[in-house]
Amino acid sequence: MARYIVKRVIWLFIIAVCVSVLIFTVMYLVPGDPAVNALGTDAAEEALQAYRELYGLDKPYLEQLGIFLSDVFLHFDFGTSYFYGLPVLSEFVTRLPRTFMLSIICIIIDALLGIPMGILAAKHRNSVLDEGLMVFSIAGISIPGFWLGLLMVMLFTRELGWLPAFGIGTWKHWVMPVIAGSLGGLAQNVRLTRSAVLETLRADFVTTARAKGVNERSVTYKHMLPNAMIPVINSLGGRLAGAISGTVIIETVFSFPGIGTYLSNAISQRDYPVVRACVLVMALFSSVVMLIVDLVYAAIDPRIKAQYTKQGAAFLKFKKSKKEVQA
Amino acid sequence: MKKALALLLTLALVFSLAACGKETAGNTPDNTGNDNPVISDDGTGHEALDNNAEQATYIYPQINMVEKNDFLTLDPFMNSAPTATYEIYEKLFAFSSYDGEAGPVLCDVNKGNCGGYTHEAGTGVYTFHLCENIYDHLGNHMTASDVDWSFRHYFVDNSINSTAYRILVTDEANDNPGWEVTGEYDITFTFERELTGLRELEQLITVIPIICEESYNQLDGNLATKECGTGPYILKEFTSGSSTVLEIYEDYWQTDDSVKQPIQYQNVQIISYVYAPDTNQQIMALESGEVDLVQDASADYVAQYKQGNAYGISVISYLQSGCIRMDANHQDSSIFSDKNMRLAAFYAIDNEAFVTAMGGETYGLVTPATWGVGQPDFQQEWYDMENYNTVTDLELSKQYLEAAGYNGEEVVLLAQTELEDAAILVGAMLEKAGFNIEYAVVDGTTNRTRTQNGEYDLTISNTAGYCGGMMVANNFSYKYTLADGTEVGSSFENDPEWLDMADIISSLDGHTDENILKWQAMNIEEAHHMGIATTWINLLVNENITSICRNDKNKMLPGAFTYANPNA
Repeated sequence: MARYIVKRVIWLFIIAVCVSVLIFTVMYLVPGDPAVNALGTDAAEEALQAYRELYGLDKPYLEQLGIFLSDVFLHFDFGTSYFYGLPVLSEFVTRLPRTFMLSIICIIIDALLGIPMGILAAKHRNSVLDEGLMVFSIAGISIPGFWLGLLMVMLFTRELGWLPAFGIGTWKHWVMPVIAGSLGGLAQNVRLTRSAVLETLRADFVTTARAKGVNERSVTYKHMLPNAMIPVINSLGGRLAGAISGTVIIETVFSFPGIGTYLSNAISQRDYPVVRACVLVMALFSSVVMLIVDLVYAAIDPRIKAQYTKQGAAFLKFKKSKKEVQA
Repeated sequence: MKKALALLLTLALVFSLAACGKETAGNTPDNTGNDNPVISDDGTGHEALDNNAEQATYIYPQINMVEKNDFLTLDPFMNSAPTATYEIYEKLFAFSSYDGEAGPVLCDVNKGNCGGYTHEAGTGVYTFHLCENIYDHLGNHMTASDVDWSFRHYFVDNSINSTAYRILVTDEANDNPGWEVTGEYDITFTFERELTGLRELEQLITVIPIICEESYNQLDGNLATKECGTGPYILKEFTSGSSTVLEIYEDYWQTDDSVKQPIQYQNVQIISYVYAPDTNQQIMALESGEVDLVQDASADYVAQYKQGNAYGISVISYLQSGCIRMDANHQDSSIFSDKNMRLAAFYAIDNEAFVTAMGGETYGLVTPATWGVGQPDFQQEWYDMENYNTVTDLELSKQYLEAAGYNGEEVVLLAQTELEDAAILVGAMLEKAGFNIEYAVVDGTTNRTRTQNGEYDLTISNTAGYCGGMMVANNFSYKYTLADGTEVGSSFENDPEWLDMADIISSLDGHTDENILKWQAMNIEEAHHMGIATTWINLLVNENITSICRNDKNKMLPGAFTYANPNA
């Protein structure tokens, strides 16, 4: 297991370097001069040149890349925003909790409402409740978050005047971004849980439990649910991995001051250090979360854990070859 | 069952959409603020802007402004400094209105022979006299040494495209950057010559914010989230990327109302700025009362609110001093180096049809000599001219095409995203005349890069507006020097005579009507540029705002707005 973790951490580092090189190269090749963007088109050529020298933009590609990699990986310095003159990391640290909080609230709502709704739908299969939940689910998956967001602003801000259209500050500012951000995941969870529960309902161990006279409550919560939850946890893990990268559109719609708006503004302003930092941190965060999710899997599912241990792997290999011989 | 539910849901969505998008124009009483001052009506149906800011006796409780640009820092020395900094920090002089003159703010209007500074004609020496009673928001006293420090601090990370800055008499050996403190409240700038260009001096003294060095040190240099200005408003709250709240500074140093510039007025108790880049989103917030002013509203909204609405919103309009123009690439690599091609393109454009198609509320006709009536250099004589700026002649256009030997070569029409509609309209008109148009609608940065690299044949751009006779000086002062040393204009016009004339009319002495007329005649003769339309700026405002005030950078100054007392 330890070997597996070390291997994954090494891969994590390789991914970080590759993403860094890739994003640096892409931003380097994108047309546009950050100096002109920051100082304006009417800036004198000497001023533009001085600006380029200040931020090392006049250096050759390889030299700039080397400086960037060294700053990031050796000094943990993501540089200074060309546009705002502030250290990228400080603004990042200010905004990260907001985005993270928004995502986590969305994920919690997805899980707290989506799973019970899915179980309900499965338990009352083909009933009016099931049909209603499935229609809600299809609608939830089909409606883009940004469109729902705009509709909500029209209704709750313009017509009713209940909620503010943008910004943060009070709990009211969070209502619409959370609804718009969680509806898709919630609907997906309902469908996923329903199909997983239905599949488990037909499983042999459930039939056996019932045959043994185990009461229905225990069948549901002790036997069915733990098995049905594996794909749901997988889905939630995926959502968690995209926690800081998955809210860009919602943040833009509600002018929510998180990482998403920071990134989208930086792209249009050619603020290279900000774009690089955002993309790199998003990639690293996703990789780390996926690693944790995999480890949690291994902890809760002995079959998966067996793949990571030496003996387990050998056993699985033995079983596979035995099957082949039998075939 | 599932189908029935789906149908129900669809119907619910349709009805909710219909309800949200209800038409308000025309079906409610007109309460758009008839008390709003209307200065003139030029026949376009637009109400003119009242920019005569005044110090009000009634102080409005709070105004909520919305900003299109994200604000992450309050540092006034940054180019990206948000609008709020104009109310917090002060400069030696300031433009408090768009078409006005710069007036002394930190300088004492009663000192010096030029109202705040001393200058002897024929010399390059200018001495500025600071007011003696300036205290900033941290309570520190400001002296000339702070002006010296602020100028030095500014130039560490910034540059300024001012001729005045470039001709300062510097002495690096003695650490003299071109200015020196000559008294406790006096600072003297020495230039190589007397400043004779339009706004040469103003560009230097109205740009750099002045702060106390001691305050800067007290804040450990953190101007991003804290402030130490001397202005009429202090920072109450700052949320990076989201909002900034300012409040009247009760101990404001300037207590003499008779010498205050509008930028120093305190007509509102609290100014709150929120960030929201999308105009539609801003308008919904305006309708809900969440914000009080929206800029750049589309023609549809403007027409709607002019007819009346239930939200208590007024429209204030003013002409932008610039215009949308079409430029041709004069380089040999472009087929538009041929004057016949340029004339063919220019005669193909129907300006009136353009304005009509764009809705009329946000666009107006240009004059026969390229520029709109709102621009500072506007000349009455231009009305008598007849040329491609007003005459559309497809036959003539085709004749010019034939004369140029045009065989359907691809013509790259470059425009930035904000002007996509304009570019498509212009492109359609050109196609009608026989041009083979390849559209290149790109973001602002790419547009700039492609323009500077000459990667276009025709380009649509929005000429920036400047006040105080700076129109020509700014829009045609950019010159490129090609590899062979040739100096060319902004569209690579290799026309030394015309470029020289641009320099002449950019000077204080040469900025005469006669020279401007001559220069424009040369412009039309050589088909250098074509005006497509002028633009109206339409502000949608809360009806309690009775007049607005903006500075030379078109930044709104809510402290100098006037407001109606809703309880009166």
